[in-house]
Amino acid sequence: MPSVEDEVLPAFDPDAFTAVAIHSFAEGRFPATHTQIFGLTFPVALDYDSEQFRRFRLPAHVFPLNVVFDEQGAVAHVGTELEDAVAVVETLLGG
Amino acid sequence: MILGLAAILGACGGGGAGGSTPAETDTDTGGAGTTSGGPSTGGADDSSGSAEDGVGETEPVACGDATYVDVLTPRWDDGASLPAEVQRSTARGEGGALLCGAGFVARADAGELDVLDVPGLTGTCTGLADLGGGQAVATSDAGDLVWVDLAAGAVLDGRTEPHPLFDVVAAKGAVWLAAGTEGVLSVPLVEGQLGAAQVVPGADDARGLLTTDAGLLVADGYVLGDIEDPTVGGARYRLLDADGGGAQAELVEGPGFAQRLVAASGRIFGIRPGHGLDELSVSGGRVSLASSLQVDEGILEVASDGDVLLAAAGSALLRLSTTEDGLAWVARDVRPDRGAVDGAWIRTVAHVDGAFMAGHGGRWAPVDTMAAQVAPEVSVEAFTFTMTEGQTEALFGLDNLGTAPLRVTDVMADAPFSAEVAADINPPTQGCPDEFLVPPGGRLLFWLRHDDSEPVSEGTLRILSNDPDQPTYVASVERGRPPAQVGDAVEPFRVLTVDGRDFDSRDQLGKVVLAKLYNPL
Repeated sequence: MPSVEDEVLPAFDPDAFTAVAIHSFAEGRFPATHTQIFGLTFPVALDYDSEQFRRFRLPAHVFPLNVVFDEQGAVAHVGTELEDAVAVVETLLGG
Repeated sequence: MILGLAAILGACGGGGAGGSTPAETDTDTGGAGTTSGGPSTGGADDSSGSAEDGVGETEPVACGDATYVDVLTPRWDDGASLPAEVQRSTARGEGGALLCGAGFVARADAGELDVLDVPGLTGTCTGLADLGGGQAVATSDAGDLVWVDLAAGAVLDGRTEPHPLFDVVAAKGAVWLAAGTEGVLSVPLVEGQLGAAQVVPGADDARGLLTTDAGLLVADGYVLGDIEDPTVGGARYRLLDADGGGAQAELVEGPGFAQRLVAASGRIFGIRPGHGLDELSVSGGRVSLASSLQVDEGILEVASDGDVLLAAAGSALLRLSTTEDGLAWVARDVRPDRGAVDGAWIRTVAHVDGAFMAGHGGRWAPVDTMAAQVAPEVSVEAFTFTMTEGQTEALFGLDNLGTAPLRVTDVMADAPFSAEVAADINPPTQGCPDEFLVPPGGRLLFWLRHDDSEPVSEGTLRILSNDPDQPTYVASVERGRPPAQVGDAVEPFRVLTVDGRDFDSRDQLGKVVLAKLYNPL
């Protein structure tokens, strides 16, 4: 999460790119603590029924799961490595 | 506070429940329970807890479907309909309540509803200050600031600040705005116009405001923590000199961030979403912590009537209380739509003219509460229980978060699913073959099975128990749903952030989005 805040977000135009952390289940202590400890400024959301995780899950992987949506709202990437997701973002933004 | 204990009727042998006795009992045996021979094949996942968490060894208890009083009953169907989701509310000094949401401000009073369209109020309505005489000022996280006159049906003035606004309070012919990292802003109200904003020094991340005799109390975000040292940092409450003298006092307390302040029944409450609720004391120029209650849900707002507290937590309504020992948890009512993209969030509550009211999506509805009783409370790991393709069996758990023994009389699922209590791990109560007792704080494991007749299935799981809030707890079950693939259109979704804001995937079209999903069940 700090990598997204400190490295990924500053690397892209905020008008063209955004990030969201989605924490599964309603228990909010963990994400709220993360928000505080790491000083996160991007949205940290609660997924009350883990719906998004079920939607994008990968076989044999649990978390974290990085998903990239393109400008048209299509799934552009699903994977576990942040570097791979960032590379897809760069490609989509012509970087 | 534990009230209304009564003698239990009849007694079963061992395997009894720990904790308290029921408030009321009868001798019905309830529904047909099922027992299981235990696991037969592999493929179980998500098992958590242990047999030791289950039925304890305490005093004998009654067979039968012990009943308890439902102390929390929202009456969503009895409410009034608003043009959009009700996002904030406040009780009016003249009676009734003020409500706001995207594009509207309304006055609800004794069944009458005056709704004013306010196109300049976009995003999520975050604050609402009653000016009296039908006038109010509302704010939004899109930076909108509007002054309305509901009596005249007019928007008097409005503008958009270049930063989010999280709260607003009125005093001394001005409104004060919680403007996040911009701090607290003071805006004079002069002849129907909003004056220029002036910074009130002393706040770093103003999220919530409350006027007190001692000054302006601010829920001021947090002091940055240290992942290696949990004693560093925490939620910050600050008392400001409203005349510009800066911070007069500061309290840094507990993990998380301070988001909201509410005054009710002569008490001051601070909200730390995801962590809980604080009761604060402001006296002698100091801010101190009177009591604190850990609540896992992301509380967005609280209202109180004496010792009775009602909290809006997005996905649920919570009944809390103040006791001699401090704040206490009483009951929870989960919203019925369970996270649908256009589902109805519970964002706001108020105590209005002697009754509790709550916003539920676009409804403003009454909520009945009763004095705290001991009672069981079913809680499950998810609203949807998931099996992967080809999986025929999985072990799940349900918890009793209540204060009395939970009596589970059946767990069942639609065909081709089936469900049954893992009776080898959690045996039925001796002498009560149709009941599985879960003591307060305990867990009951059950099997969810699929007959493998089709690769993809959806259905419903039902848990029958003596939980007074939800005697039939309904959850979804699914098996083999294929995950989204690259190239698929993203199915729209809407999630609530830890500070009570929306993230709607539909608002992100035109942008590339990195969604980082973590800590799944």
